[in-house]
Amino acid sequence: MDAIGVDFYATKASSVPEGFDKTLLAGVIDARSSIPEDPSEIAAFAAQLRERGVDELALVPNGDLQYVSQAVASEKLARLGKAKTEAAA
Amino acid sequence: MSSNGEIKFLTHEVGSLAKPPWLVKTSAGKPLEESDIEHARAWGEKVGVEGYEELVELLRRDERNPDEIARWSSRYCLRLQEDAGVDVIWDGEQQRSEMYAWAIAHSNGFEPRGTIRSFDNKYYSKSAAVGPVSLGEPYHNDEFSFLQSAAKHELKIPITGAYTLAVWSYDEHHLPKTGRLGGGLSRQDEIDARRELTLDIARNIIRPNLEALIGLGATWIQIDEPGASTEEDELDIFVESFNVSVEELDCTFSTHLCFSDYDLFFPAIEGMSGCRQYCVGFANYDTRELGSGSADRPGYEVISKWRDLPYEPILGLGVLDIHTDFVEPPELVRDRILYAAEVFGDPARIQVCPDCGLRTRSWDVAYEKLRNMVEGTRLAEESLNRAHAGAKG
Repeated sequence: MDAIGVDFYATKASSVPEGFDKTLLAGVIDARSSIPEDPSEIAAFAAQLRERGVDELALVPNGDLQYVSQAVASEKLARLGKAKTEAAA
Repeated sequence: MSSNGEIKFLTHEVGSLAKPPWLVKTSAGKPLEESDIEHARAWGEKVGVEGYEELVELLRRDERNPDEIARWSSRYCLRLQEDAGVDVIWDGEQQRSEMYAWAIAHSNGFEPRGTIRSFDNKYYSKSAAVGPVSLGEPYHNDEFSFLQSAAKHELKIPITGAYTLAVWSYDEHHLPKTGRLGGGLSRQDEIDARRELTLDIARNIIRPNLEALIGLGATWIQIDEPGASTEEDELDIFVESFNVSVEELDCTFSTHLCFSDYDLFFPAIEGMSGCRQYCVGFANYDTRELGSGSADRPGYEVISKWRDLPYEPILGLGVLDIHTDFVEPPELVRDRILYAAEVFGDPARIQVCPDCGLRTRSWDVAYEKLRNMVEGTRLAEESLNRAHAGAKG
């Protein structure tokens, strides 16, 4: 197994073991909510994960986006892109 | 039970019926074909819609008023059920957009969030609660007043319940906008938010609607809760919202529960004493074989749980599978009723209905199913009354 996905709307960052040696698919977009995520909050959370020693980090939704409309999904993914940019800065 | 002491089961509808092509196309602003107009003529004649020729004339015009055509569709659905012999009826929600969207559109505090899939290839427009919710205006009054003037049989009004409206909506009002990431929101926080939204809907939207309908003369209101078992750990919210919606109101209240693991509802609904009848679908889980023994009726095994509820509600026994064009023979309906009557030991606590609304079936299939439901009910009554007379003799 190369990667593990985790829903971080149901999991604390501290639950990730120190020295996690796989790719972490971090579910940071809530696919069951219409509330648009704050890119800065996601970027800060990604930094927390990095601090725990996660080297390979992918930011993803926490589930299938069929539970929101196309318009809501598009907005969420746009914010995910901004979060990535902020996290990389 | 009838006045002469013989066993008599009341039959009633549960909710929706399909909208005819001449209403669907009129609402969408599309032209009609000759076959659509023939549909209106043939059904008007078949089920005895008074003055249907006037509708046929209206349908030949390029300009048609959708509201006027919807009222005609209501008349057709009333007559369809009356002609099938159903005792207590509604119009199959012909004048409503849909059971969720209609309620939300007439309420304050919601904003649309687009179309999402509910199941299979079915979609609905989902909204979010964005502020305090309240009733814009009682949204079933016009419909009820019209149907009172048009129906020949007794009416039962369906209204979508508070919990279903809440669980089918997003909640941007009670849930925090930030701070949820990283497990910042516990399951209990989510439940607490749902309780607040649901009870707000019960108090500020459902209850004023019920009061308005009772003021117009409604005697039986069915609070539809197809979403009731969506979250196993929220069933107490469903129960509390039902009680808050109806307490101290002078009317008969029932509920309709849709396809689910019905065991989930127990013991939660032991506290829902304001509910005098549960209309529940069972045929969907049952076999098509005849027989009134427990081994013959696996879909109905769970009904003893309703029998044992302390406040002794009536069970609206779903005997028609609304997911298939299979038309249940009257003998199959009879055997399902006989089994239920045996389990309950009190026929007065059994009434007969379809599993759910028949909107996914054509009028042809719905009509035949309803006719057989009524005929099967008569067969069950004959069987029980014969046995009763034999026992007395």
